[in-house]
Amino acid sequence: MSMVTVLWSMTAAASLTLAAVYLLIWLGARRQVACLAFSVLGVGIAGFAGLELALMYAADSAEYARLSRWIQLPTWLMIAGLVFFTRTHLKAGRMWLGWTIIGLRTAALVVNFAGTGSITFPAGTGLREVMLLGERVVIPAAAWTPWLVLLHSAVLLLVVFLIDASVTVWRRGERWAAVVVGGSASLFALQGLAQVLLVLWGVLAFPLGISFGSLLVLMVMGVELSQKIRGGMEATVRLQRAEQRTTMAANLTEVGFWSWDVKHERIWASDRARAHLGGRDGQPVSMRRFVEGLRPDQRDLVQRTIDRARFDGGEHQVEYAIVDEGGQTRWIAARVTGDRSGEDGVVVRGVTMDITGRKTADARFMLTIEASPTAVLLVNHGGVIELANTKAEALFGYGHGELTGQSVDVLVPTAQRAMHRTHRERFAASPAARPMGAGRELEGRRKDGTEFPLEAGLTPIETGRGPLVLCSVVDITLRRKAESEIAQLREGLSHAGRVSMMGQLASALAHELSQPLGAIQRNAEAAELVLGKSPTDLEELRAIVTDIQRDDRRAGAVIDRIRGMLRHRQVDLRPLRATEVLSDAVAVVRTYADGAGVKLATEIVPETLGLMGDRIAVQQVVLNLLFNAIHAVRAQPAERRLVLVRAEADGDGGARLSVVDRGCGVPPDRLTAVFQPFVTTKADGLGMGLAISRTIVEAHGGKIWAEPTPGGGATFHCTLRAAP
Amino acid sequence: MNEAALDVVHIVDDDESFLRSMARLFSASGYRVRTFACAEDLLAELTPDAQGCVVADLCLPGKSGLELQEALAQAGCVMPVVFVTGHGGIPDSVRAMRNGAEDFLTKQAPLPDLLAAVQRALERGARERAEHHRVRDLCARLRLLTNREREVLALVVQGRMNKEIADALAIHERTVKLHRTSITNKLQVHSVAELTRLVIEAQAHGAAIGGH
Repeated sequence: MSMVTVLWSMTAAASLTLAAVYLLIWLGARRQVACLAFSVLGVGIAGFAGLELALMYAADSAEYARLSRWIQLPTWLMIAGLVFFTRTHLKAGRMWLGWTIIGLRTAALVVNFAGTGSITFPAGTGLREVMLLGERVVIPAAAWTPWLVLLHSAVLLLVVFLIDASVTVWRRGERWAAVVVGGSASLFALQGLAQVLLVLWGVLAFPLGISFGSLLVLMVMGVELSQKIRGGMEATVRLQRAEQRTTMAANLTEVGFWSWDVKHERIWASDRARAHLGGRDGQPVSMRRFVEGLRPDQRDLVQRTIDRARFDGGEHQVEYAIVDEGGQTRWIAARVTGDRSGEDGVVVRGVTMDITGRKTADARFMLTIEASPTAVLLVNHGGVIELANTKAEALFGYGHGELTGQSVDVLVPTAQRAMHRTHRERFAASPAARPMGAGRELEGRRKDGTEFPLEAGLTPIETGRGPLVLCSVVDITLRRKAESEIAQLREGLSHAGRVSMMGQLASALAHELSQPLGAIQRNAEAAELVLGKSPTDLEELRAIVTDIQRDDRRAGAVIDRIRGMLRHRQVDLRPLRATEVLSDAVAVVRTYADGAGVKLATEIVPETLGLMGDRIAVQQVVLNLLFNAIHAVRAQPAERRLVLVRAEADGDGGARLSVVDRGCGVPPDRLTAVFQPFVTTKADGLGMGLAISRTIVEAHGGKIWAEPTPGGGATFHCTLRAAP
Repeated sequence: MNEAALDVVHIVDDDESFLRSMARLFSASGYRVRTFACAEDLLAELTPDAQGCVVADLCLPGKSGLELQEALAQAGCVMPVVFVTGHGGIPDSVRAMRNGAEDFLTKQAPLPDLLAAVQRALERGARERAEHHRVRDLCARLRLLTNREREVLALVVQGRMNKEIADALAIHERTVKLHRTSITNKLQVHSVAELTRLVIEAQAHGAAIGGH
């Protein structure tokens, strides 16, 4: 076997082997088209080497011509393969140039096979013999055909194409690839071209030996390609490892991950996701089976969500219920996204979480709200009522479900809505549990427009639906009423207390006075007896008289003390409104008057009339006069059972208070006497009321007196300074 | 002997002037009077044979008038109390009357009422004193009896015949008759009816008659 044969055969075999290997690789990974191009190139080179060998051992010109004809085919493959390899692996080179090249060569190929001869070896061309590696081989004599232009211009263009591609790759930064692949291919193509031309022009006496070079280039390209493939394999391994890690992580959490490659109908799901998609052990997960396994009322929603993610992209959420292996219903929340960034269509990914606990808690929470004895509303931060329990609906007069979805402002009186909105926003900004409207009187508005007082408490809570405000409302209409009643009673009680204190005071003083007065009386009686005896014991009488005088002074001192006590109480002169003073007093005696069947009337002229006085003291006087008047008329027939209390300006810068009754009246000779202590017309009276009243009025710098009422009865007047 | 002349009106009041005026009044009305500024003074000077009545105020320093009344009763004093007070409510007056006061008046009560009350008190006092004496005398007389005579008396008062008494006491009927004579002489009582009344009265006043 000659060396030439061995070498050329090895070249062909090696090329074919490489081509086969890469073809197989391409068959396993169709995406790697560069492998196919490489394979084509390799086949081309193998064919070319084989034919080149045969050419060198051609017996005669006819055989040479025949072989030359056929060698065009592998040449075409080589060139096409090179162009495609450059495009697919280097991703460089102008395609129009590439097509031009292929087009030229294809044209030449067509012409070549259309004719009978070879376009490169015209008939009649001679052959020469040269020595190569100790062997005698044949090379064509110099010949020139016009088709050579076509052929070699294509090769020239190929060179340009390759150089251009190399430059592009170099510019891209892949220096190594640019030099190695582009550079070597370009150089070799150039060299090959030069060689062919030179041999055919007869300058070089060397067989066409571009096979070796081609093989070398092929090998270099093969190495390049293998690196890329290895990189791809490493990437795959890394991806697998990443997937493993993700799966592990996913399984550690409560969260499930799944990924649905729609185009290839592959679903990857972590163990947890598998359960969340309703899959059973052993069964492969499928979207269709998942959706079909859902409750009928949820299928549409889930399907729509997945479809939206798949077709519109973006992130979508949905909640659904599945039945797990133990037969328990579980609620799952899923976030589904559509990823269209890949090359292979859309990938729908999902993250699932078991929210059964939260759902149960939510349900329980709703039950609690519903069971609450007070009206409860759940309002979101936008002011929309998300839930109102039955009591709340009843309180505000709405039907079932009518409040849900409405703005909470409808429950607030129109006038306060703007302020309410402001407060709501402030609350949403910094939520904290607190009563609503601290210090303000709150009112609510019912569906029919009526308003009522209420109390509300606000609590921020986090629920499955986001932050909400829990608002509990209590109708305090009754409480307000009770409060005002209590206030009135308390007022009345304190009044009564003061009045009774006055009574107690009077009683205590009466006791103190009874000592000297009693003594005076007994002394006088004793004196009478002494006078009746004879002889009259004058010494005794003198002693008696002395004692009487002393006791009289004693009694006077007691009365002075009373006056002093009353006067000593700092009379706190303040401006008072006559309306208030009189209405307060009337409120206190109302029960007594009603009980006695006596009607009370008030007249204040002008309405804004003011007095200067001590509120409590003045009220005592009014109360005293009122009590007296009511007592005086209670035995009268119905039409006379009327007491009028009047306050008017007396034109002198003063205010006059009058109490008019139509009772039995006061005898004209007693009109001044009634103001003295212990003078009373009441069977159970102490006779102190008017005396104390006089002391008070005089302490205010005013006067108090009584007049008969025209038509029967008594009228008591007192004057006080009017307030400016 | 006119016992009434020995009656003393005991006036108790803390008001000096009123006390003096009352004393004058009663003296001029012909009564014997003693004055006390407080209840303790009266109780301190109280003698068992004190007779008359007490005119007291309710409000006294130290013991009140009502407490004085109770103290007098406990001491066995038979002097009725007339209350004369500057003020007094229904509860006080009811309690005073329940405890046996003769009357309850204000300090400024009309003179005739005051004098009448005192007079009634004195008369009641005298009656009770007399009664008291009588009982005392009666008990003294009963003490004169011997034990055996007391036993006999007890059975006589039950209406037993002499024979039954003799059987009950295991003595002769004749001895019974002897005892009965002795009893009659000592007690100065001549009929069984009188005897019975006497015994009952004595028993009412706590005297022991003996036997069953």
